[in-house]
Amino acid sequence: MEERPRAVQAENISKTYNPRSKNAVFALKGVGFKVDQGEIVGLIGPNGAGKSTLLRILLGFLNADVGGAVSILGDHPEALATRKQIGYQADSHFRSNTVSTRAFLELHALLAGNPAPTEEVDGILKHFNLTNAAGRKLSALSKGMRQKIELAVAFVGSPKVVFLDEPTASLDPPSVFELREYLMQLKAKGTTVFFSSHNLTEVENVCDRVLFILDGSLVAEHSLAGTPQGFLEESFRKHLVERKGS
Amino acid sequence: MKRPLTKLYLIELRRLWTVAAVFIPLGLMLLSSLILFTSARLSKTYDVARFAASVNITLVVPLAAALFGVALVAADVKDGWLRTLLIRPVSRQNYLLIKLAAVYTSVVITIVVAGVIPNVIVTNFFTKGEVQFDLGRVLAVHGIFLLQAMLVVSLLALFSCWVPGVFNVVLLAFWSIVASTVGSYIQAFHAMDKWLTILKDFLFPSGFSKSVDAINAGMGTPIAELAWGLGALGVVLALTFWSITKIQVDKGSE
Repeated sequence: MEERPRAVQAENISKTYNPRSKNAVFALKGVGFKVDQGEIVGLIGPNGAGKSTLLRILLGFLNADVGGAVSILGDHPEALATRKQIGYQADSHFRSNTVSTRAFLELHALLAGNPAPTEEVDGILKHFNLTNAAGRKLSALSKGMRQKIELAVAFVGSPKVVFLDEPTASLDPPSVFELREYLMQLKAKGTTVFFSSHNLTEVENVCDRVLFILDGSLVAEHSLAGTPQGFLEESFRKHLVERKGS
Repeated sequence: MKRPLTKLYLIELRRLWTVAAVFIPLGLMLLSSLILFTSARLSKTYDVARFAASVNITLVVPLAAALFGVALVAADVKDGWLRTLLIRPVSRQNYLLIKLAAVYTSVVITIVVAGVIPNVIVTNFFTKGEVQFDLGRVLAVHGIFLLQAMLVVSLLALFSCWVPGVFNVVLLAFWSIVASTVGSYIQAFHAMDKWLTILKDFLFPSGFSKSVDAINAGMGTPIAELAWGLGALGVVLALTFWSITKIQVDKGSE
């Protein structure tokens, strides 16, 4: 039987900012991991640990240092065939005083391959409680609503692999609950989700597995099956103490 | 992919045409009307093609291109628009093509509003002396304005792949001023030096504007100047499409 390609595969990813400068920053150091299709994997670590850098490299938005390799569904992240199958919610929001919410989502649905996007966009607007914001310009929306729109964009086109960068940041509790339910529905459909978060409870609630990143290195990987509530916090503290000790 | 790209083109156009942007063609229209009106009242003969050239080549095309093409690519990198597009199956080349088309359309609209309409109005209602209207020459110079606009927009796009914010316009203006100054210096002090006088013509891609000058001077079809202009346009476009592949979407240029 033919083996299914991994949803995400990263090998020996390093990233140095300002490599020729005295102030070179080693944002990532030889990071490698695999995510299987249908898994929900969380990426956690303190601020500046390299989470967003890693996500950007995985998506091909930032070049890694020479020597590493990334593949999504067995292909290069920037290949158009790959792009048809992925969704991404960025940690920063696109703002525009000329583009409306509906136009933005319809564009994404069209680009994702839906020739008649109205129905899909209506459904997504309804699911994320954005119906009232459909006609409003993106810059006129609150931070929380823009976060929801970025999330909506990530799910447009029913992608096979979804990357979320701090998905619960700026969301109110009801929206966090809805997002959690939505992620569980996606998991049931076999969608792979890879997300970075500071919200340990959320990660514990939805993820199958978690990757710890500290100072640009992956320091641990845990399966969350059968672990007690609070395991992540305890583990996180332990890794931080170990780092300080070293 | 045709419909999504059409939608993208329309959204790019909409993003360019903010309320403030509407004043670009209107402001330029006022300015060029004033220049043409003054010229029409002061000149004994009003050469339509010549005045069209003086207004479009020196005023409307560069200013419209600069105003619509400012931070053409860099702004999209900075505000996350490029990232939001490239997560979809849109190639960088398609993005650039659509972007160039939207900016170019806006510049052409401005040429019509600020360069053509005032000339038509002045020609018909405000000339004092004889009007010289050679349809072939008028059409030829306007065709070259469109090529010149494409060249300037492409140059701005090329620079915008490598420098942040408004510096693409600053760089183009700086290059143009330096080339003009050095050219004037060569003309004044080294006019007998064959190689320097040849170099003077190649300091800036000015083949199209020289073509317009040649047409208006009645020197026939300016093959060499057009070839220089088209060659420069081809090279600039090729460099721009190569540069777009080198952009780090989340961190500017490498």
